[in-house]
Amino acid sequence: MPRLAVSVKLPYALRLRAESYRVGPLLELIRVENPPSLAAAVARTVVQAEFDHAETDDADEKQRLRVRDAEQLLRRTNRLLRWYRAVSRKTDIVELTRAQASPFEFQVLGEPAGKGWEDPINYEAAGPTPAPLSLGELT
Amino acid sequence: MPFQNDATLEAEVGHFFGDYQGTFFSEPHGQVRADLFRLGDRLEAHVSFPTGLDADGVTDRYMSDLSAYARQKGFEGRLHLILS
Repeated sequence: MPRLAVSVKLPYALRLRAESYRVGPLLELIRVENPPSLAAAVARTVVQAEFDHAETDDADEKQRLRVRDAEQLLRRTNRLLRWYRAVSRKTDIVELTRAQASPFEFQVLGEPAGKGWEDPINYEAAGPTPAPLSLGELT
Repeated sequence: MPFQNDATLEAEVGHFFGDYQGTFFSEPHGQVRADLFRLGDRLEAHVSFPTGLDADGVTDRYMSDLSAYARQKGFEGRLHLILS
C-alpha cells in the first residue's frame, strides 16, 4: 500500500514552526517545512500532506487518486493561509489557485511502489490573465 | 476515434507549445481533451475538460490511452500532463 507525500512550494515564507498543523472542521493534517533561513529573499515555505492508497496497475485510477490528493492538499493549504492571514494580519497572504500552487510534487514513502505514483501534477491557468487596470481606467 | 487533428492549433500555438502531434478526446463521454505537442524530447499533453468537470470528477479514462499513445510514438516515460 503506497503512502504518498504530496507537497507544494508556497509563494510565501510563513513564520511558522516546522511541524504538522490540523486545519478545518475535520482537523486534517498539513505539515509545514520552512527553509533554513527565512531572511533569504527567495525563502519559500513548503507544505505537505500524506495519503494512503491501495496499489493499482490502473493508470487512470492512479491519476484520479493523485489528482484528489492534490486537491485535498490545496484545500488544506488555503485553510492554513486563511488562518495565517488572520493571526498575522498580513493582508498580502492570499489563497492559491491550482495553477499558482503548481507543481504538486509526489513522493512514495516507505516501500517502493509501481510506476506513475511520483509524476508531478501541473496545472496551467485556464484562460488569459486580465491586465491590471490603471487608476484612470478604474475611476 | 480518440485521436484527431485540429488544423488550426499548429498555426495558433505551435510556436509556443511545440510541434503539434494531435488532439485526444476521451471516451465514452468526451470529458477530457488533450492537445499533444512535442517539446524537445518530451510529449506534453495540455489537458482540458470541455464538459466543465474538474480533473477529480472525470470518469472517462485518459491516462492509459495517453500513455499508450506516448509509448507507441517513442515517448515512453516522457509524457507530461499540464492540466487546466
